[in-house]
Formats: sequence, structure tokens, C-alpha cells
Amino acid sequence: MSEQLNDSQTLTRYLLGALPAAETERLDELSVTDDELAEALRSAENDLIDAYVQDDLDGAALAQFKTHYLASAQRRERVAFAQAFQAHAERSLTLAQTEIPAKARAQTQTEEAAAEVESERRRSGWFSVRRGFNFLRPAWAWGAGLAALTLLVVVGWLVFDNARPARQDTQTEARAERERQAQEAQRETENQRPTPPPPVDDSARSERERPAQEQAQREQQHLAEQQRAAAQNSSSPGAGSIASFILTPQVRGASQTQSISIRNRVEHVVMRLRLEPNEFTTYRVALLDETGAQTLWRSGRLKARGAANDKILDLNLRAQLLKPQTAYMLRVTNDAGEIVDDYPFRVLK
Amino acid sequence: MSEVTSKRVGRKSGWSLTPEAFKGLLDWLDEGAGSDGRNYLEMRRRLVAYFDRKNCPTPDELADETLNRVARRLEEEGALETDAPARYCYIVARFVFMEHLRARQKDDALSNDLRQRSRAGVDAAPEFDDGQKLSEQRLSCLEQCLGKLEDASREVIARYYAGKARVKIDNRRALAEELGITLNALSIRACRIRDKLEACVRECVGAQENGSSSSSR
Repeated sequence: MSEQLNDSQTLTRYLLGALPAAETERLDELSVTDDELAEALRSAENDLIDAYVQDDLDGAALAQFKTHYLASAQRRERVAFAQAFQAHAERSLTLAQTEIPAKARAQTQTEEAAAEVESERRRSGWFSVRRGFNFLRPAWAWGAGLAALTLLVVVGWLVFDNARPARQDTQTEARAERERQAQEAQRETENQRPTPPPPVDDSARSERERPAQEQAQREQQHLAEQQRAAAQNSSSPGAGSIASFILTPQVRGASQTQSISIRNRVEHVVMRLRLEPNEFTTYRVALLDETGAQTLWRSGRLKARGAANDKILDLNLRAQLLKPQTAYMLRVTNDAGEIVDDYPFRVLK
Repeated sequence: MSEVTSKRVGRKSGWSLTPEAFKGLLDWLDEGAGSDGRNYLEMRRRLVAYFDRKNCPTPDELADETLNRVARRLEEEGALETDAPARYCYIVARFVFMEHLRARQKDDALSNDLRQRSRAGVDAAPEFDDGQKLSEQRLSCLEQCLGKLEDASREVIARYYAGKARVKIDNRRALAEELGITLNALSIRACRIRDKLEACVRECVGAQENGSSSSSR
């Protein structure tokens, strides 16, 4: 089987009836006679069907899928199976999102992690909540790690009190609460200053990442200042509660997911995404569930700020989009829809 | 080898498949490997997929017709040494397909009907909707069939098909690493499990539909 014929794009075009006649005939033959191609074709077909089911096809591919692929009853049956498969996965993930926070309340984080591993072993249901998260863990673990180095999730609490209570006693309570939150936020920011990076065997890498750390420290200071200012202004009427975080892009070989904490009273979450150097000027961002299968929110077209090699993208999300003890991913794409950077993170509370 | 029976091998006018001819076909496809019918099932699956991709309305029948002709030739000649079994099957399949096309062209009425159906299929495709009841039925069957899989297979298929785009690729890479196999080998394994699952769901949905239609009579 030639490399060219095995190319998954060619196979996809073959399945969509979009190849020239000669090439189609050649693949017809190989699909019966060549074990390797028969397997590759099977795999490509499954991926094509899944892409359709997950709304990942567009343009000509989508049109060809509808007109050519779905013209056969057997193939429609395969699509129906994939839809059931997807529905099952989504159902399980929904369960996961509702079940985990309840358990989390009862345990400390460490205890919970241990219990999760233990209960995972005992459960046999496929796509079960815990299993659903556990089987994805390697990918997440894989995704964040060097980020331990650049794990610069700087948590800044900008706490405003949204509603000025009408009665004096409520005002006093609210003020006390604001002061408490401001103090807590201050402590939290202090605690989350970048920790010394773990030893790395690649000194060149650590050299490359030093500017990023310094920049993150500057950002953190800036956030702390904003936070203090916010605390001072917190008595101003109509101000909403805002939490602000800086996320660094997923790095290959990383082993930790960035974690953020969101208080109950927070209404808006400002995410500052540090972009890897790229040539694009405008971007779109999508908030995805942990598997990347479901889009929970999409931004409009966004412009980054900062220098060409140190761009920051600011987002404003409604806090209610983010559930506690749940993992998410922010995906930045360019205008052509190509993935620029991924930012996996976990909401702790 | 309970799935493989001579009844499945279809019909050919004027010649019927005997158990001996069928065994001859299985042995020939095995090329001495003793696959216990797996090679036959795999060849049949490939032929069905081939005819389906050619938009033949009855791909199963045409695949059976192809294998039937091969079995007949084997019985008549005792052995076929000109080509590898898969290649020979493809050549016969191509003849079967050409005959099918000619038959379609001869029959104008059928041709028109097929055109209309094809157009209807095209128009209907974007609205492709399986129906809520059937979807639920399929989902329930999927759960049953997943329950029948071995734990290891469930794990593989869950992780292999989880996520989209880069997440999916990363999942697969991580899984292959964990299992100590190549991505290609993992893809073959996942596809086989998925095929098995699909067949189980199809059978389950069919059985439920038959059950409900007979009870409604």
C-alpha cells in the first residue's frame, strides 16, 4: 500500500466519493485485497462518522457527507450507532459533572483523589463518572506539565460587592464580608505567587521560559494592584464580583493541569490567556468540556494585546459556566479555525 | 464458528452451495491458516463495504453472490492458483458489480425508481433523523452491548474515541503508550471492538423491533 493512498485525507475523500475515477478504482481494489489499507479505511471511516456526529465537518466535506455518504442505508445505520455512542458519552459526562462536586464536599482534595482511584477500581460501568474522568487523565496530565515550571496561574481576586443592601445592618455585613474577601484574596495571591520551578534537565528550556515567568510575575503584581483597587472601590454601587486568572498554554510533556478557585459570589471570570508566539492578529476562543467533545461557550472575534511574541488574550466568562471540581479547556483558534493553543484547567471550587 | 453457516453464502441460480463447497471456500480463504471462519467473515465484510461504497442497494446480497461464485468455481476446478484469494474475490466482485450496473441500466423503470430514491436520499439526508424512540432503543442496546464487552475492551474503546481533534489524538497516543503498542495496532484493535459493538447493537435493535412488531400483531 503506498503512503499516498494510506493518507487519511485521501481515504476520507475516497469515502466521500470525492476522488478521481482512477484513484477510486485503485482504492476499491486495495480495500478488498490489502489488509493494511482495509484497516486504515475502517479507522478513517469511523473518524469521519464521528466528526460528522460531533459537528466537526464543514464546507465541502459536510456537503459530500450528506449527499454521498448518507445516501446508503447501511452507512446511515453506522452514523446512528455513532450518535448513540456519542449520546452515551455525553450522558456519562453530564453525570460526572453533577456527581463529583457532591462527593468533593465530603472530602479533602487529597482524600478525594485517593478515594477516586480506589472507587474507580471497584466500578465496572463503562463511561462511569469516575472512569470517564480517569481515562482522560493521562491526556490532561500529559498536557500541563512543564507548566509546573510555568504554572503561573496567578489568582487575583477582584471582589466587588454587587448589590448594595438597602438596610444599614446588611450594609455593615456586606462591608465586613468585602473586607474579609479582600484579605483572603490578598493571602491567596501571595500563596499563588509562582513557586520555584522544579528541576528540569533541559537548561535551554528553562532559559527560554524565564522571560515568561518574569512576565507572569509582573502580571501577578498588576493583578494584585487591581485587586487592592477593587477592594477599595468595592463599596461603589453596581460593581460585580470578578475573579481574574492567567493561564499559560498547554505544553507537551507537562504533567499538571492548572487549577483555579472561584468563590460562590463571583459572577464574572476574567481569563488572561498567554499566547505562544504566532503570526495571527485575531482569534476566537471556545470553552470546551474535559473531553473536548462539547463546546460550552464561544467568543466572538478577539484581538490580542501585547507585543508580537508576548500576546495576551483577555476573556470575560460568566462564572456560572464553570462548575466546581470540573476540568475544562479553553481552545484558541485563528480565523481559519486552526487550533493555536489549548489551555486545560480545573476548577477547584 | 457459529456465525458462519452455508445458508449465509447466498444463492446462484442453477447451482446451490453445498456444505462441502462452503468448506472448500473457507479452507481456500484460510490458505492453510485455520482461521476458524474469520477470514471468510472479514472478506465478506470487505465485499459488503465495497458494494455499499458503490451505492448498490443490496450490498449483502452482492457480497454473498460474489462468494457464491468463488465457491462454485472452486468446486468445479478443485483449486484456484492464479491469484491470491483476496485478489480473486475482488475480480469476481467487480464482475458482479458490472452485471449489477448493466441490469440496472436495462430496466428503465427500476433505473428511474433508483434515481428518485437516490434524489430522495440526497434531499432527506440533511434532515437525517433517526426518530426519538429508535434512538433511545439504540442507546439502551448500546448499554447492554457495552456490558457484554470485556473490561479491557471497554477501556480501549472509551479512551480511543474520547475527545475531539487534538485531545483525541493525545488520548490515543497516551493509550498506545500505556498498552505498549503502536498507534496503528491500537487503531486496528479499537476498530474491531467498535465493529463488534456495532454488530451487537444492530442485532439487539433488530430483535427489539421484531419483538415489538410480533407483539403488536
